[in-house]
Parts: sequence; C-alpha cells; structure tokens
Amino acid sequence: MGTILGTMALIRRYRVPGMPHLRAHVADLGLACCAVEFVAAVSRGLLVPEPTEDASAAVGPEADQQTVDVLIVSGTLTHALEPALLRVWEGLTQPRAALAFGACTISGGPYWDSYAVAPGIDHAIPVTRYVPGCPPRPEALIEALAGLAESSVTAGKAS
Amino acid sequence: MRNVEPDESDQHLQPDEQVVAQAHETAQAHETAQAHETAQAHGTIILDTPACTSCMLCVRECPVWCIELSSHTEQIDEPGSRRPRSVAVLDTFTIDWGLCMFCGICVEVCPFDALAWSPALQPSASAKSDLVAGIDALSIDR
Repeated sequence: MGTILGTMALIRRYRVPGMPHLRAHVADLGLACCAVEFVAAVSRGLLVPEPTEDASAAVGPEADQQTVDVLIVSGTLTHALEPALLRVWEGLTQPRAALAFGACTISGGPYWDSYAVAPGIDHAIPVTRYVPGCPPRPEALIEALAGLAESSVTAGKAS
Repeated sequence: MRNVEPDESDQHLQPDEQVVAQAHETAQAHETAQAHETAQAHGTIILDTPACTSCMLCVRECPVWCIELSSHTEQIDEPGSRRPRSVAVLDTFTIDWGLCMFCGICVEVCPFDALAWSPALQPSASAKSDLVAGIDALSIDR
C-alpha cells in the first residue's frame, strides 16, 4: 500500500496558474471522497499539470526561485495508513508543506470517534494549512495555496 | 437538375445564424446558472444571534457534534404581569469548522431561522484552533 501511495503522490505534480510566486509542486494524495474536488480543480484549470523538465528549465529567472513541495492530503486517514503517509511526506524535498484538505484530514470528520481513524493527519505529519469543508470547494484549495504562498511559514515552520 | 435560386445561399446561412444565436443563448443561460449557483452556494453557515433562543436543537442534531453553546436565563419583570418571565440568553455559540460536514442539518432544524447558509467561502487556517468560530465570527453578514 505504501508503494501505491508513494507513486500516487509522486507522479501527479501540478502548478497553480496566476501564482508565479508560488512555485509549488502540488502532490495529490487522495484517500477518500474529497479527492474528487482536487480533480474538479484540475478540470477547471485552477491547477495545471507540472510542465516537463525541459519546459521548466526554459522558464529562466523563475527557476531561481525556491520551489515548495506541497503535499495535499484529502480523505480519511486510518491508523493503518499512517506509516504510508509518513513515508510519502519524508519522500518530499525541502522546503515542503502539507495541506489538510477536508474535515477528515483536519479532525477525522464524521469518524472522529472511530477506533480506526486518525483524528487528523497532524497526528502523523506536520500540517501547514487546514482547509475546512466536507468537501471543500475547488476555490478553497486555491485560497489555501494562496495563503501558503503568502505565509512565511512555508519555508520556515514547515520542515 | 433544379435551378439554384439566388436567395438559397441566404437560406443556407440562416440555420448557421440560428445555431450561433442558440449557442449564445446557451452560454448566457450557463453563466446565469453559474452566477445563481455561486449566490446559492453552501459556503459557510452564519448565525443571527438575536434570533437564537438557545434551544439546543442544532447542537443535538449535528451528526459530528461540531456546535457548542451555553446560555443562562434572565428574569424579566414586566409591569402588570403576574410573575417575572424567564428568557434564555445566549452566552457562547461556537462551530468547529474543522469538524463540520456542511450538511446543513442545523440550518434545517433551527425553528427560528437563526442559522442560515452564506455563499462566502470558509477560509483555511494555519492552526486548528483558528477554525473554531465564535459568535463574533459567525454573526458577520457574509
């Protein structure tokens, strides 16, 4: 399962159009239904797939800017999956930030009292930003990424 | 072979124009629908504090128990009344957006329409505790 999650998080990388100051490698880690909203954001062009290595090299001055690896976790995290999530997080390059997308990732959501569900992904990895919603709208994802770009914690606090 | 009437080309154009007009209409209808959807969006829930009677229905019906409230009763002595009237006064009212499922059951069960949907986007936060909204945050007309 860890391999599957690792592949999921590593192969899908996106950029946010209109936010050149945020050079974010957005890795989507969808564990449950909230992941659909991530797909909705992509289909609406709010997120665009990462350009190839050649294209990003041709960008020029922007390439000097620091790129942040953003891990977007959406869906219910069970205790059994915690080690897998930790491995994905440890696989990201610095600086990195984690975004808890949806009620389940923030607090366990409707499963907050379940013996099998982690009451928030911050029990496994450090979280930089919490996005409320069940599910949050695609606009909420972009708002959170904008907040991530503005906050200085991106490079500092997020480890 | 039939004769080609000079005005037949116009007849050829006409359906195209109709298609274009229809496409414009469809696009306009789509935009209107989208604007309507945005205005009706279940973005966040707002509280009309004076309308709340602290009846606890929303707190009890919430599937994730994300609403908490506290209140006290006050005696109102109205002139001419036989005895003082007891009124519940709301002290605190919080919604934890980190737990909320945005299901709207609280909005549905509120007998006094003190809770309502707002199309405004519930913003993200850098700390979990910042997602707990009190009366001040919930009363803002968004």
